[in-house]
Amino acid sequence: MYLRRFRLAEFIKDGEDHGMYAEAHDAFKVCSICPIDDPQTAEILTAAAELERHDKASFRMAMAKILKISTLGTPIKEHYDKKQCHEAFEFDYNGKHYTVWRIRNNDLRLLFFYGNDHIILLTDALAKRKDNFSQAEINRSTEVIKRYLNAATYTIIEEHK
Amino acid sequence: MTYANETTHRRIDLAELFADLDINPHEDWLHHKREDAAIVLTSMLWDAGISRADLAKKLSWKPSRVTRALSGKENLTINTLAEIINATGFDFDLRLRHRGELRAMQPWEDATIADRKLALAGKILDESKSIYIEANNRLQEVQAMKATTEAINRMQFRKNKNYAKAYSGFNASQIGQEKQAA
Repeated sequence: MYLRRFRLAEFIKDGEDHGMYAEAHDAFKVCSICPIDDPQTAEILTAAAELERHDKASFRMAMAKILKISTLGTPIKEHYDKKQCHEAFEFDYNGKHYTVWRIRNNDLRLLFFYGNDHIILLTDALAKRKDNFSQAEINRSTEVIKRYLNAATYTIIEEHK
Repeated sequence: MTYANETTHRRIDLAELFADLDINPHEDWLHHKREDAAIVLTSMLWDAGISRADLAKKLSWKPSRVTRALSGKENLTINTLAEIINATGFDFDLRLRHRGELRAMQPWEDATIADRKLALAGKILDESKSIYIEANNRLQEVQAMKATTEAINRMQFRKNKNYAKAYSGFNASQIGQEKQAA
């Protein structure tokens, strides 16, 4: 399995000084599954490409913030209000209980899951006017997580090395 | 929408994805500065073990005011910053740095600095090891070249020695006679 790791520099304007967020030893790696060894096939980007223009802007801002926070190694929710970041839904798989988290930025909902080895797996990005998730939306995220959990190994790939 | 699989993957370039967003660079920069300040404040609260509700109580603020102040969307005043930082038990200065330099570490990031120094030392050690291995390989190559050169020299020396031996029976008069005969 291939996981694309995203970096803050990919979500800010070229040359913009963002304080150079230095990575803590326990920094999170924000990733998305790629079907092949090509970072441009990251599935979260497929979801983002479906968004309308203003939601894409929210996606960009949400990604920049989660990437900044991820370098600090502190729990993501500590940097958001409860309304902005909380548990979206839970599910059981192979006898274990899993939680999917949600970040809200305007109408954009960014769903993620805490994986092993400090990985934050992005599972979906969707525009919603309501907080409730449909069964199809829940299924899509749980399928991504199940594929991640079933993978024996993974390789982290990046766009900019 | 369904995600791609190994046969139907879709390639998306981030620059192309955001190409039509019409981002105002200055506004974007200010947004990041506000957000960076908010992230420092939320990290500080986390380190101090103070919840947003606790902070609201300490400052006699409504929870919504704390939410707004820590959202990264507000243009915080120095007064608001000072109130929040003071309520958490910290103090602050305005410390500058050159653009592109590493930002100043916060008090709760000391462990991070130590880890980073340790990681750097490990990296230097790894590089030193690879330099040592490379140098050792080069040394062996040079030694092999030296041995080959010496062997060639020895062969040449033997050749010269044999040549000298072969002509050692001749004397000057013999050589003169040979020349005359020719």
